[in-house]
Amino acid sequence: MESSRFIILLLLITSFQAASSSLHTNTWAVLVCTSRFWFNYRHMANTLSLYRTVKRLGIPDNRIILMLADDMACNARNSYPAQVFNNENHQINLYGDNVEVDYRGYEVTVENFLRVLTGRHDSAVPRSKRLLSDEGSHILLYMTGHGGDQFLKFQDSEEIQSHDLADAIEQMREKKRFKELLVMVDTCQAATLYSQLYSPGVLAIGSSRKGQNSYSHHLDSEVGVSVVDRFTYFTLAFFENLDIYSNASLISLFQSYNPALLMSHADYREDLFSRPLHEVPVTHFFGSVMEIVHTDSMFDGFKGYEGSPKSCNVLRKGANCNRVAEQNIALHGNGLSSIQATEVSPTRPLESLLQELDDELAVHIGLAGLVAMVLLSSRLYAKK
Amino acid sequence: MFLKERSNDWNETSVVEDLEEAKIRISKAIHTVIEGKDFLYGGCGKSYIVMVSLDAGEKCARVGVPPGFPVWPCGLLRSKLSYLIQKDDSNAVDEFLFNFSRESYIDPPGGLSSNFSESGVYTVLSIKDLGHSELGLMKDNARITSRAVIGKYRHSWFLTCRENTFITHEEISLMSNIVVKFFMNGGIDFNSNEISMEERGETLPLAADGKAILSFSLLNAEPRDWLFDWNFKDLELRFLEPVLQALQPIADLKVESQVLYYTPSTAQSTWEPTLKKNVVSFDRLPFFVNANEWHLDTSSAAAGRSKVLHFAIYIPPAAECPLHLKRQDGSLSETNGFTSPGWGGVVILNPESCNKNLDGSIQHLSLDDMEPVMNVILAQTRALFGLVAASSVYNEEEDIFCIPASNTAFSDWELDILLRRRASADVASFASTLRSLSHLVQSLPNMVIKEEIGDQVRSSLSAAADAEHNASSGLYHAAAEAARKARSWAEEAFFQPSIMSLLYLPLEHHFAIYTPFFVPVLLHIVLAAFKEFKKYHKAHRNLWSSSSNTSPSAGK
Repeated sequence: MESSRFIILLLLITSFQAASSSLHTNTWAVLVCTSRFWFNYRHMANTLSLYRTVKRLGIPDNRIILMLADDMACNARNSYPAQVFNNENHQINLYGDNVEVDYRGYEVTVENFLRVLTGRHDSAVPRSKRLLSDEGSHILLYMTGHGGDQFLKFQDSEEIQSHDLADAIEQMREKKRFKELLVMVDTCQAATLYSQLYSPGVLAIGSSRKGQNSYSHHLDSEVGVSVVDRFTYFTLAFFENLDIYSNASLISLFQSYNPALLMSHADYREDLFSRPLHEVPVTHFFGSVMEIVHTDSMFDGFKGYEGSPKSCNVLRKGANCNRVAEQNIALHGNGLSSIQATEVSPTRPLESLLQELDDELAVHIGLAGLVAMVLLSSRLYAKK
Repeated sequence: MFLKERSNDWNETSVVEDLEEAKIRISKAIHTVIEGKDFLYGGCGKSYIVMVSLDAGEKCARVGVPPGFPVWPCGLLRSKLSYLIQKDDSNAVDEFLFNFSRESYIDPPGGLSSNFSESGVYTVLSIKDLGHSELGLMKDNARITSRAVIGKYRHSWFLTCRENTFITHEEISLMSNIVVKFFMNGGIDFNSNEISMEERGETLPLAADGKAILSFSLLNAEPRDWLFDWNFKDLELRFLEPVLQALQPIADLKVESQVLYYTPSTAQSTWEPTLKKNVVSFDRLPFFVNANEWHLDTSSAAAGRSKVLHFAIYIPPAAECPLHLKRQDGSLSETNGFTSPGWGGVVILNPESCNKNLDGSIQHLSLDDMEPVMNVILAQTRALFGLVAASSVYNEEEDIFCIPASNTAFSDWELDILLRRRASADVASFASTLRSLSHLVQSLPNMVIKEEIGDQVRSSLSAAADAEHNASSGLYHAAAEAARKARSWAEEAFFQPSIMSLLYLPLEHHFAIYTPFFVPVLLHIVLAAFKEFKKYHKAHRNLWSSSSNTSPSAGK
């Protein structure tokens, strides 16, 4: 009976769904670094550089989920404590002030990552750790670390398969958690990670094809490890000249990668994406553009509480509104004072005192009882 | 949904047949108007009832009234209605009609039917008056005329000239326009296909359980220039409390407020010498909200999945005072405010004088200072909920004036529209959530589903059945409440933290995991079994051969 009603409802609803789409109202970024250990410094630097870029282009912290699997800035091997660089010229300290890491260290697991994507958190998880996107969100999903054919390694102990990622994204789409999604992967054999995607509205780019490795860019001799990967390095070079107003398109970003310099082929996948890439500005994913509707008129004549006609505006010249204004204030004053009266009534202190006494009384009685029991039992024993 | 409609106040006797004919013509007209537009979310579709009645002074006649349905009492013509209309006071007419109609609800003939609710019953009055064909009304102390007026309850009225025919084609088209365009759709024309979901009213800015938090922030961009403060409690009582109460059946709204300092905007403004103002052009508006410095999302009441709507009142620094916004066509904005669907709204409040307040004292914004700002915010709230920003905008195309709901900012008929939209949106969301949940469960047969989830799905389904039942009976509030419950339960079931999809485990993985464990052990077991079997076979064979050999073995 219930199932038949359900089917009827479903049929009704499917007939209602017109082909209308939502506006792009906000942009989110989920930046994941999955590698641990000092020699994977460059993955941390990749993620932090992208974090900086995305913030500079306008996405605020409360719409960025930053997951860093290890701490490089305060690592014991870091000869520049509290500083993370992505270039040997050390010009930018990526880990300066105003970095908000949402998932750190061992919290970066496959389960948490999938929970962030699908939204299935425990009720105690705070809002800053949730992906609170809606049907108008564009999401940038950037993953970096060590990967292989159809997988990405997390924390050196587990891995996420490309099928899991595709399933999670499909669940996101069913729950209308994004309008469009850009998956950017910087790992070895990155193209395999997005090969299983099947949800419409998803665009993906990886740093290398199946069978190819992705390489780091250069080694910083003072820090002692490679500080940035090639794919991310050239991505940052592209964004260096952009600001929040620019409208460079995604196709120019995707075509800016030179396979000779990258030492791998950065392939992208656009078959699931509905818009042509030359019409999509990069700021749709990397920056934050709010959809604005101008408020055409104000709501005239609102009387509000008490409903007495406010026929004159005190700010207008020559208006003799004193009586009306005072009346209104008196009315509101009465309203307020009556509310305050109930809050701070004269009987309240007494009641609270009584309550306090009651509590104390209970404690006293309990203590007395305890002492009596002890005495009684010791007497019994003494008698023995 | 039912939509009932009557025309009233005829100045001469007429026959029931005329009424029947009028009813048929009106139904047809409404039908054609609906056909001409797109399918509208939250509209009534084709399920409505038309009732026509005539009040002719001495007698009244009615057609199409279902049994047990309360009707307006007779005698409207003889009442002081015409006197009030001549006085050009539309508010008084509205109140009078409202009180008049209530009399019938208190004491209907034949008793009130148990399923009756006021929502969904709309009245259009056609008033035959001598000489007048336009309604005059006072707006901003000026007299304007319009063809029809829509009140803030559930009725509207217009005047017609004295003519011989019972009802003219013009009257019918005006009636059907009022019904479809306003009472069904809220005054917005949906002919274009480019309208987004938000503008069609398919999504209300609410969380799954029907709650939302309105977060008000007063932003002092440059505290070194001047400092402003407000008494939010008074503001809330005066402006927000009645609105929130009126919206209670649709959304459970909470209000929070904060005052922030050092919050500059990221949009650049230019000085216009002709206007003597600093102006932000429309294409810079998307960058106005400086999300890095404006910490608006710090609500303490917001739980994990709740929805927060931000209202930011921005006080510009002295260098940019007075700051104004420009509209898309380049003209100056009257409201200095804008909204972003699903996020909230921003209003710019310019201090009265642009002189810096160098002594660092805090200036308190009084209720009167905040009144224009709060009016804009109310308009923005209406826009965020999918209605026309301010219904007192004179609708020039149709020559219809809507009386603004001065007490609650939302007229009764607009609340009905929101209820219908809310119910439809919730039921649609419930259906898609349960569908995706069933997909998920079916695709992973190994997953453990808790009993809790089954209970939630069951309660969600029964709530949806209730909603459907209530909707078909015209019980708006009950239907919306049941739809809200259905959606809320469905979301709870879907977002249960325990159903995480299991990781993909192909057969090769099973093989690769289990063979290193079991193969060595199995090998030993197999070998041992084999040896045992050989021994047994040997022993058995010996026994067999010895038993076949009749001579027992000689002594050893």
